[in-house]
Amino acid sequence: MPSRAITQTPQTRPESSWRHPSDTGPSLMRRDDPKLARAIGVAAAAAIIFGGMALVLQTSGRVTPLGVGWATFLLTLGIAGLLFHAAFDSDLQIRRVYMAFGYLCLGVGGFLAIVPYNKQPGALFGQGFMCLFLGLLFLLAFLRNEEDAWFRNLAENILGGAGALMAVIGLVGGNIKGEFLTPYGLLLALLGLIYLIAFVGSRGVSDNLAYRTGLGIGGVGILVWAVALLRSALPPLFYRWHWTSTQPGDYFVPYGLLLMAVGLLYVAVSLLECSDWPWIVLTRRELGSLFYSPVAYIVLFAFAIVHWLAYFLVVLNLLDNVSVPEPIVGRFFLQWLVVIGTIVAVPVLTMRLLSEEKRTGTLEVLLTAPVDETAVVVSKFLAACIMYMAMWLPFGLLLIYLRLAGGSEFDYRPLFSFTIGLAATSAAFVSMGVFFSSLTRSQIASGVLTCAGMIVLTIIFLVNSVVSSSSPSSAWVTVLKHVSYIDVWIDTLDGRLLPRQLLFFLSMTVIWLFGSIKVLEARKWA
Amino acid sequence: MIDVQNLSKYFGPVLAVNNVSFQVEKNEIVGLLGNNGAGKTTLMRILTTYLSASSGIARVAGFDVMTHSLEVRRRIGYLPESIPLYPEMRVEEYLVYRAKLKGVDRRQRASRVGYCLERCKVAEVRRRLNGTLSKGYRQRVGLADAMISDPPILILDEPTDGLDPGQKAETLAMLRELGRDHTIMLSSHLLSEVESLVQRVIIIRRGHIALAKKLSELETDDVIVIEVRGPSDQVALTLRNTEGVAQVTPKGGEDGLAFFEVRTHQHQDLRELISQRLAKNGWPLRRLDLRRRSLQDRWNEINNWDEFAAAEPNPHSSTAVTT
Repeated sequence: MPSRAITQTPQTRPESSWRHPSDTGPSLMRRDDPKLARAIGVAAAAAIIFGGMALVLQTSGRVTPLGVGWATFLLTLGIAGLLFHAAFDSDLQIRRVYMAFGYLCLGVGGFLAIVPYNKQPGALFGQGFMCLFLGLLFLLAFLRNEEDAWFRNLAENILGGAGALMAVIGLVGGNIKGEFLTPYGLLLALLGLIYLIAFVGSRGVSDNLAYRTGLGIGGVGILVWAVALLRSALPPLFYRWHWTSTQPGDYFVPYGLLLMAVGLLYVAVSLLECSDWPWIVLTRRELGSLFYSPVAYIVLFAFAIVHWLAYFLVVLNLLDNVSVPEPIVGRFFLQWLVVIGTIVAVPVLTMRLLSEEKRTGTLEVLLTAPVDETAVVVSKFLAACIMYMAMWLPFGLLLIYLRLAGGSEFDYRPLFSFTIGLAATSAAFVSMGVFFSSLTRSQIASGVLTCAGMIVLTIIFLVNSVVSSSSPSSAWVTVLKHVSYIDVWIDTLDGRLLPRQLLFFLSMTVIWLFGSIKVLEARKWA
Repeated sequence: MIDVQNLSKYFGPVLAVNNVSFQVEKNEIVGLLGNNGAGKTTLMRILTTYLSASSGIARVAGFDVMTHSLEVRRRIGYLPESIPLYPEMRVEEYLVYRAKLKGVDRRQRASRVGYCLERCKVAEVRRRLNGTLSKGYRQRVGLADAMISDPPILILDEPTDGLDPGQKAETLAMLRELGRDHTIMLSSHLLSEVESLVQRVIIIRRGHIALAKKLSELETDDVIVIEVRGPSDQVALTLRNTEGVAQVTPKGGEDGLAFFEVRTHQHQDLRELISQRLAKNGWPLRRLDLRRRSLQDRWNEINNWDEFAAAEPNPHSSTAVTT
């Protein structure tokens, strides 16, 4: 009898999950353990319950051991903890619960934003806005973990739809009625834009719908910008040409300017999302890399402290004087603390731009891809400029707070001219930093050189002060005034925007950037 | 696809590449061999437009690397030796970024990135930060980057360096497959892997080309090895006077024995004639052998040049144009 072992057809083996070793990583991969996230989630829920209860009791007139401040702090901490849990616990039930919570926030937010309270429409807009923002965050945390295509698609489409709706309401309403624009229209347009960014980012521009949405954002931005420009420019022209007899109101400041800024922001977002132009791709990566390193956060935090101290000093000053002459905003910015902050921040932001690429060798990979030296230099310059300008944003928030807490109006219009002056001077600073960074592989050397350059530019102001006090009619006073960036800040904060002053800094920018490009090109001839 | 003529590169007083000329045909795999500091990387950097040559002309895909560098860069995929990657980016994010820079169409981008991730066996680490990858993974991410836009020419500086034996074999197999419709120029220290992959080798020594031959030609480049008891000078003279002998290289001797390597014109097998001549002079023959020289032999010869040749090779003789 033949052996069964030989004659019997071997049974089909179950498909093995074994793979060739090279197909797998050398280390075992395991799913993230959500223990910590769950512990934080539970603590956060407790914080929300206690904080929320304390707030509710406070509003109903009861006395609670927790004051309003602590209750709000607990509530904020709790929400942050829940978001952390939502982002890092991918368990099916938990992520779907957060999805439902996100939708709930969206619904409640929409309702609160619209519903009249005490016969006042939009009275609860602030609360509604917060709910809408929270809803976005929870849905993003859900999308981070969700694998089911149907649920993903639904959440993405809801985000996209809600974003488009908010943007349309904000921009159309803001165009119809100026009072609606500030603050409702503006906030809706910005939140709508963030929703749309989330939609495009989640789907990726390889997806046609997301790509077209990205292009649409740009189209809407151009339209809003053009309409705001025409509405600002045409009525005064028609009046001057006597085509109309009624004198037009002042639309350009602030409504026209705000809408044009929003339009440009939409265009910028569209470009960053959809464009494959190397300048944009590189700028986007550069901005990302700034935020991946702790440098950006340290600089932002340090500058926020500088802003806070400056605010503190100004408020002290305001309290001492009964009447303070305008421009009040000038007193914020024109402080030595801010100047010192700038002298330090510019080198910190720019020192690694090209020197790091040289040191690690990534410049070789970059410059053997189809991008030229100009694109590399300009993208680094743009990213650092955007970052530097973003550092000044806390000032804006503090000004809004001053307006709300102070209760009296002040002239904010010099801020527009100052923004332009600041942009021109920061372009010159950053381009100088880019140039020094292109010279060396050492970040420290590049930072020290840039810092020295900044100190020289600052000393020019002091020299000018000395010269102008000793011999005011000297030609040097005029020359140094053109070169001193602090004088540009002073003039623009007084509401004077002098092109001849800006021209110096813009030409300086061009020269530094040109130099950086040539230094990069010179590597070929090493 | 690659045409290099009389290329030289000075770094100050250092002559890194010395009057080099060669061509690489379409869909050919060429191995660039040489010791550290021989000039391989400099040559590759010139071809990828990262450096400019001090003199000479290099054309890649028909474009001059000097005057049409962007056109050249659109047609090459380059893996540098040190594989610099942005440490803060994740693998997939990095490849998407590179695909955008290299102009991969938006609609094909996701599938192309997915293909390269799978092909270079880095799909499993797609979400890991570049900075946390091991050398082997960095190498493969660099290779995926070089392939991402499916360029017709791949220039790879030591593509298997740092890989374990299994990964090396896979990478070589992949390159062999890619070589069917891509032109590949790769450098390596490892002769065995080059021999198994390339169709032609270019050996660089001190910046000049010491050898540029197809492997098939190399295999027919025979040497007759002789060990004979007799006076070295007279034996050498007799060998040189034998019809058909092109070159006689004494390889030393001991105890009255003399060793020679003989090359013949048109690869004739002269063993019988040589044995007759030696027997006629009464010199006992201890060994008469036809040795096919391997790449390793050529490599050893080139690297021991100073030992066997008193003078430096004529720079002009380094110009080796093959088709």
